[in-house]
Amino acid sequence: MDKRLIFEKSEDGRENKLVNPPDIPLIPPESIIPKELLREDLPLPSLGELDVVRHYTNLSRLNFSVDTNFYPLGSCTMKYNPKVNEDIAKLKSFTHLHPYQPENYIQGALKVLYELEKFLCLLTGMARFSFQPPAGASGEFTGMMIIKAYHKLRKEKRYKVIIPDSSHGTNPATASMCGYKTVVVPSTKEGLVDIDNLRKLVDEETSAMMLTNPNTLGLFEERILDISEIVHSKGALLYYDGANFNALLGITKPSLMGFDVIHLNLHKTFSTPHGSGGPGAAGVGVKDELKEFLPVPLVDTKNGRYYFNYKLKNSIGKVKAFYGNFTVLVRACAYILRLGEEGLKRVAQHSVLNANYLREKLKDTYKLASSNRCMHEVVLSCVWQKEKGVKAVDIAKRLIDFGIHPPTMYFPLIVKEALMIEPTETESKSTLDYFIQIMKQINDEVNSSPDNFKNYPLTTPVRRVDETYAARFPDIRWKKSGV
Amino acid sequence: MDNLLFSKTHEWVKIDNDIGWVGVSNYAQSELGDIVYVELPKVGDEFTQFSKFATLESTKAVAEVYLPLSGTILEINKELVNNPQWINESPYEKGWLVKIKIKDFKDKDNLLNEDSYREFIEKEKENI
Amino acid sequence: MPYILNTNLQTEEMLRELGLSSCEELFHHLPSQIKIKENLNLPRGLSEHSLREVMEDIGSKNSTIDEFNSFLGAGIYDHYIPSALEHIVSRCEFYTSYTPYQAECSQGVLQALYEYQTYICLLTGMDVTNASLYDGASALGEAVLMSLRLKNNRNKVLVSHSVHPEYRRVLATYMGGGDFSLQIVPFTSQGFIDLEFLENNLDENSSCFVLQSPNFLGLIEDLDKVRAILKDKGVLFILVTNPLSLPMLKEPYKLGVDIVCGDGQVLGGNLNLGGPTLGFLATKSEYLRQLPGRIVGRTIDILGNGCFCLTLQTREQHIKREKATSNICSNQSLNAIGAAIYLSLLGKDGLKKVWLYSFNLAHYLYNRLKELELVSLPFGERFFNEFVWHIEGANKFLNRLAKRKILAGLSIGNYYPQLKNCILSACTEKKKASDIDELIDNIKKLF
Repeated sequence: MDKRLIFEKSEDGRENKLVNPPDIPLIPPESIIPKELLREDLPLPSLGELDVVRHYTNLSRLNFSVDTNFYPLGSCTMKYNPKVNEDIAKLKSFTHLHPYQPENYIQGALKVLYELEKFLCLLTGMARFSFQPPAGASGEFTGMMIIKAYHKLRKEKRYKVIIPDSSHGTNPATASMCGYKTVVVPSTKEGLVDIDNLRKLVDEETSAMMLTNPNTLGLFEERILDISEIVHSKGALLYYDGANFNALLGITKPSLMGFDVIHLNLHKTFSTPHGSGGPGAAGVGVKDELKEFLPVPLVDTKNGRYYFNYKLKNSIGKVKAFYGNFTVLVRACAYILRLGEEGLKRVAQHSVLNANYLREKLKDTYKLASSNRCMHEVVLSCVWQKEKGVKAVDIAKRLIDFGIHPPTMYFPLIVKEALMIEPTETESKSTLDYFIQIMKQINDEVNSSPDNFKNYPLTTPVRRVDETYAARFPDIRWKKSGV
Repeated sequence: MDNLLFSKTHEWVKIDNDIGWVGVSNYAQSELGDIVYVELPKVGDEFTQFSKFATLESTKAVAEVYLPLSGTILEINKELVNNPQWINESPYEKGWLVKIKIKDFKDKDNLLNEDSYREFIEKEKENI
Repeated sequence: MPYILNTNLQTEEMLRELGLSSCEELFHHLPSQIKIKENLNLPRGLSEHSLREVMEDIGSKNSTIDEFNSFLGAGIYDHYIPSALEHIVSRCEFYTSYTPYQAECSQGVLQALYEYQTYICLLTGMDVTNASLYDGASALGEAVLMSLRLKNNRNKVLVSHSVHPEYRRVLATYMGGGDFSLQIVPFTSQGFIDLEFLENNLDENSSCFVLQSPNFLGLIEDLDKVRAILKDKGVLFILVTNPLSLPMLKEPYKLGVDIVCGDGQVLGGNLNLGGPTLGFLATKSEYLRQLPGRIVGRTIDILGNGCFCLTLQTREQHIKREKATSNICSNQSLNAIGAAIYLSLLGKDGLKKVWLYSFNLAHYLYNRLKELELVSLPFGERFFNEFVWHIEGANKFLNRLAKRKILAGLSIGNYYPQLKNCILSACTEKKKASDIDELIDNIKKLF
């Protein structure tokens, strides 16, 4: 394959004639704009359509994806992305809408937002949702700013946020963005929140606790009601990082667990594609007494018409221009309609079944991070393999040779040599059996030829990538040679 | 490795009268992996014992480095900016981080000699 | 059940392996008080056929922009999108993969993002950028937080009043996490930034100044004059810009800008009711370590061959946690890849044409409006593809035009009381002179 960058394929004179010249006499820019504000040179390439199509099509073929490979990337919920949702989200009646079109002309779009909100309220027990945040982390920021505004309105000075040591990195990073000090609550040996410790940490200066449930070890926090009681007894609020909600669809609701503010990652639980890293979308849900704090606008109805409601008296403002990642929301809405209540419950059941099946079949080969039954994902620790000199990263890289995307590595941080495996409900027993067989085979290789592991993978377009070199000598953009 | 004293957070100090050279131990660099970036304090900055004075980054981790003795920064190892790998290759010599003027020699009582440091590491490994 | 492959038989077999007899037992360890016991009242599932009908029916309640003669802009613009673009980004290997953590099986995404980063640097003239942020407004939020970190003993931020109102609103939320103050710098009666006000309000506590150019009113600002004022005060210069204005306008880097950000929707993105789009943020290499978001770097593999990976990850939340540069995790990669494809397909000459045609059509509209006695033009003609005009009873008038299938622009009196009855209108290269003539004829008819 031609490995040149797109810039190196440029040939002067190539042009695709994509747009029409207007049928008026053209005036040059310098007749209106001072010369010192105009540029002298535009150093971009000139390429033919086939150059571009072939270049990027060939690049696409260098990637693993859900459509081509088993992709058990823990905490990312890489489930199958239904094709009908793509077709629906690409309808011109959804994509060709300008955010400043009058409400009369976008009633269908508003209906999607309204219905999606209604569905998520039923699934979570929250009173209202905003879909403005374009990603989970943005949802966390939105939710924590709501909590901050809530305490501020009550004239309470609270500066601490409690976060388990097993949490996603976004939680402490979000707390910092909101001006809070992170206080870490340790986990027990089993990987659950240490309740006695939590009781000591929560006080009148605590603003909130951020919690993922199931947590990042894939375990359900069974003492969630104790946690809720401890947090609330001091006037703090409980925040739900819904990254792992897939395991609980139709089984329990955040409201029943005592959460006050939540976010859901629609690109995880609700099947919208991950797009090589985005766009995603989040919904932020709140209990009734917090709904006036949500970002504006919300969608409401009046006389059978949908409208944008900007009148929220304590709104935190906006976290993104306009109304969120709308076409992602269309996909999520379509997914819920397709599966319905019974289907969504089956999603939770099969995601948990698949993860426990892997856990059961691999528990003698790889050390389990916890002795407790898991939910939608299982965390293994490669410490037995490390004794032979093979690290989690080496095992991950070897999986690539068998057409399997590696699990999340070295996370959660409290597990040594962690591999975090989330099969999702859309994978079949036969795919899981193949994965189990390969994981065992790799362990045999660890025993027989540990020295080979530094060389893996062998079958990929490039071999083991040197990340140290990349970090020591950052080259993050192409430059024309000689410049 | 003569006359080195160690902290439980894996820094070493070599004392010559009221001057100390400070770096991180061989164990620390091997746990951290290939170091790619070093953030050092400014000459003249003052630190109390065991307070954070530098940051080391590998590709996948960030480690804070604590000063084993209270003191004032006299000199920093500027060469590390372009050669962070020296901390991996030569943690006790080329990979030194800062030179300090020691403020209080009583701080030494809180440090470990080489043998006790080795025992300390062995225990730490067992706990993992 | 759609999208679940395990058959009943397989499910039973797997449960047996776990020593269980039903899926419900997988949840036995959850406290019974929190389990859902009744129906949630969600609808029953639909066949694919019915789902399509239901969603198409909902869609039909919208009137797309194509049904109008539209002059809406104000941050989201209806440029022509080449056919090849959608075909490429619809490749499953791009849209169904995740962030390229595992470089060896993600080289395609990584290279495409490296090319995107290069394109942004070439357009803006800046040294470095990341692999995209959420949108223009949140990119501005990140740019300001970045400058507050770079100048960590200063906590005042000055923002031009002609920065997009939605962006200012988002910025205020982003700044709400810390003890920062935000001061608005007004624009003059000509619509340009009030340089005197700016100069008089800069102090040793000022961290950065945010200017938009072309500004929300469409006007191209004198960046060099702003730079001259900021230079001595050590205040960082943040520019919000439309990347499609850059093929002809001077590179922000050459005008002394420290951080450039904005929205990349114009680079081949659909309107999507305003999202998803993509945010970009570019800066000087000396500020690289304070740059938020994912960054792709070029490196070598164990055989010494060139390749790509995510780099400088220690800035990010999954490693640095509460000390990270931002909490951002996912970004808008697919849109960034789309932007690289758009810029490749248009190329140097195509982009200049898009610029020149949009510019000419907007100026044609400006000149045609000038002929009308009912219309006044508060500002000058130093704009790219968008400008402000005034007509009495603007809101009513816009509604009446909409009924005639013309969306003449955005009424901006709500954002700026001094610009009551003012309308912001934009042209892209998709407009025809006859569209503009139609608008003018209808204005004449309605008055």
